[in-house]
Amino acid sequence: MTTAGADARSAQMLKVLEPSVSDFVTLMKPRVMTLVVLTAVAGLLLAPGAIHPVIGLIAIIAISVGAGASGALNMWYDADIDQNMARTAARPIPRGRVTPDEALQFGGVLSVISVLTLGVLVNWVAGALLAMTIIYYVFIYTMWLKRLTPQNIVVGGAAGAFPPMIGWAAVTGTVSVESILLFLIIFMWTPPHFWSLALLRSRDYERVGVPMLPVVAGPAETRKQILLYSIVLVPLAIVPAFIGLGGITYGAASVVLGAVFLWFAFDVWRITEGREADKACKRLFWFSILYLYALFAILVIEGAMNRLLA
Amino acid sequence: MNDMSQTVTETESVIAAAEKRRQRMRSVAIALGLGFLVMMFYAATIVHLGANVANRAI
Repeated sequence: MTTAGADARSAQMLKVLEPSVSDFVTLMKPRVMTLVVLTAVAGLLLAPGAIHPVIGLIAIIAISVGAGASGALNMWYDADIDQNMARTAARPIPRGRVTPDEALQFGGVLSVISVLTLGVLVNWVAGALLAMTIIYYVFIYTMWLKRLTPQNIVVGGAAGAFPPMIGWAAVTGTVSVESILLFLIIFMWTPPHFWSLALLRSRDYERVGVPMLPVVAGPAETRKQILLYSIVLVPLAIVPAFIGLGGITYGAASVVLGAVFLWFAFDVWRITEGREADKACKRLFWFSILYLYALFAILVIEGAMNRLLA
Repeated sequence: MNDMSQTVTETESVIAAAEKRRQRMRSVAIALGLGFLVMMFYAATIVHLGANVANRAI
């Protein structure tokens, strides 16, 4: 082996391990961030009262950066289990693209900056809610309950449900029943969404020792819980149409999409064996994403139209 | 033995260069982030002050 050859190889290896901008973007869980942006915008547009567009934009940026920061802190803490799961093995830390220290610093600094920016430039109720969301997601969910209880997804779902409340608080400076309703829709949506995926990936979770419901209580109980949460979710998601948060389009969409959601959840409960059972889980998982995006997209469009026409 | 120590030294210099690149990238990212933050605070201040920006004792 020549020294030049070894040199070139080590240089190439270090180049492979060097982080790129996209690694840090991945660290912020961009797909989760899109949902955060959508739901926070919905909260912001539906809230009564006025907000300057620039301040509204700053609020949305701060909320999404805060969500991304908590995603980075989650990846930092979960790096040990991420490397052993097919779904997460390609994340930047297990691949060696970003060091755990870099992820911790990145997530920590962005958390502080996002909370301070929201607090100083928008209002401190919104800032405090964002701080609470980050603390809840990182400390209570990621570090404490995720590896302790099969209800981890229910607990973690609350963190993902806060953005519309923060968006609402950015305008009003308060927390109201309407914003709690938006919170509850996402909160009730999370278990059927994640458990339908967990049913397919239960071996992965079992291997790394995360007590997901299918691992601890078994597939039959998980299927029952999916159906029960769906039965609560669907009527709850129709309520905005009756209290003036959503219009006719939202009302119609929440009924039709809700019926499909229930049908798919019923299929997950009914079909328990073979490839058809896996198909039913996949169908519910993908449809649940469409369901939530569609409902909040309609709320955003209706909210924007109302503000433009007011 | 001499060859081996030379390889080690060269590998160390490659690592140092990589670390330097990493640090430079981090510095650029921090500078861009701070620049964006300054712009955001500037814009928000103008919005909050509104027309009062020009309304001050000289």
